[in-house]
Amino acid sequence: MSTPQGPDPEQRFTALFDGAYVDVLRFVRRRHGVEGAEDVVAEAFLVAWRRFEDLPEDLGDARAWLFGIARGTLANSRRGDRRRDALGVRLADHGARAGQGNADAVTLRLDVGRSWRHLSALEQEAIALTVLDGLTSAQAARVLGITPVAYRLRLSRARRRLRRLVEDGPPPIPRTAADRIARPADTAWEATS
Amino acid sequence: MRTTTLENALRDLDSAPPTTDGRPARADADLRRILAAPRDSGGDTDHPPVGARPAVGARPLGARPRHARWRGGLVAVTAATLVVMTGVVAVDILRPTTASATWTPVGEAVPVDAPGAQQCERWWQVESSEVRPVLQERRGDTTLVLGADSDGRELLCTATLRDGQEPIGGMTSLSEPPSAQLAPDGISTTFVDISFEEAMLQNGWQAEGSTAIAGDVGEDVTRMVLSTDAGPVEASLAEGRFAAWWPIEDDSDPHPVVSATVTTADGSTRHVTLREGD
Repeated sequence: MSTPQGPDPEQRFTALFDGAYVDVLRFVRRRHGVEGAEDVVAEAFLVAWRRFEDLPEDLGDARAWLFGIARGTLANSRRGDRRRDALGVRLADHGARAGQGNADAVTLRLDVGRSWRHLSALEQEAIALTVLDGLTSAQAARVLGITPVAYRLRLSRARRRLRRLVEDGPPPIPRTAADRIARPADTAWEATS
Repeated sequence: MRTTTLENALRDLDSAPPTTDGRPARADADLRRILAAPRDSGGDTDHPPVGARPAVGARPLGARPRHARWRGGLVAVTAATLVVMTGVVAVDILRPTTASATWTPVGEAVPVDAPGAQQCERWWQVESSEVRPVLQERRGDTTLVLGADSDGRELLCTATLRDGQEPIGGMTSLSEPPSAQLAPDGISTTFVDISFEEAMLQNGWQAEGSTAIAGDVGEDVTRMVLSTDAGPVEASLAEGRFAAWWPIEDDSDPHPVVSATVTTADGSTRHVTLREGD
């Protein structure tokens, strides 16, 4: 699938805006919350319009491109050195949906919700791009500015950690956010493709 | 636990689930304002253009520490886990032939223009354009390249090339320059890197990994045979450097002891520990 082609950039951009706005809004809300999310989305689309020449032809790639811009917009709103950190991803309160599904499903959601908080922002982001944002590895890699192989590495490591947290139970004392970001063992060997 | 089960639970907990609300009322006004703005070719955001980065490197965007390196013991140990998984289905695709399947305990020296060596050179251009290959060896379909710059800083790279598949591999950051001159029979280990892969297949979790080691040797060192869980592994020697890699079955020991039998020019041998366990 591709974004509408034609000589009129406004027409192309409008089609992209119409087709991707809600997805970008959901992407931002997962990382930023509801308040102010529409401002972030508007800013992201403004940047996208200014950089229209970079718009990928494929609609899926264009969507990932927009997510990347939105991510950059969110990161820019941070201060100092933290602005390039991974963006943690919020989950809904598992208690709010406790009544949905059978008892096993409810228990699993509780376990997943608790375990999710023990993942680093880097790990949350890796999983969310695939599972919640619905991107392929190549598209998720584009959002993060890394290679698909590097993304798969990050994703699989995060999946494994989440799986083990759910199976074994999260540690009793959550580590601090600073501890959970970019541990040396997680970042030293750089997968390439 | 199946990956799909976990992922379904995650989707149930999505903080921004699909709705039928459509776009907010302000969206149309935002679009008109955006279209009224001038376009340019760059923009002042610091988000890199999609595809602008060279196809190399898994550098996290967050400020990360340089990877751990124990120069006191002249050894650096790093660890990583590589899982090849795709999408949201439970059955993931692990490449049908793995690096371990074609591995050999003795490396074959290859020229700098060998495909794997050239691949590593392309990858490390992001790290430094000053690095030149000083040792290239191939074991099966994996080429290991040790690069160095004029200051003596080193970088270790592996590239696995298979027909019809995109190259895969790994690369360290540049080491610090050596702090002391090596004795003629001396050995200085710069890198001990552990890579591990895990994937969900139809018959359960499958895993494989490797340990790579590299460093410097004195001019009298003529042979190094490493003692590993994979059996004796002969290190490749070139231009005062050594390097080797071997498959591992799990990553339960992130700081393995690595030892070797070293032969020097006078024919004598001695046993040395290249990496002390923690």
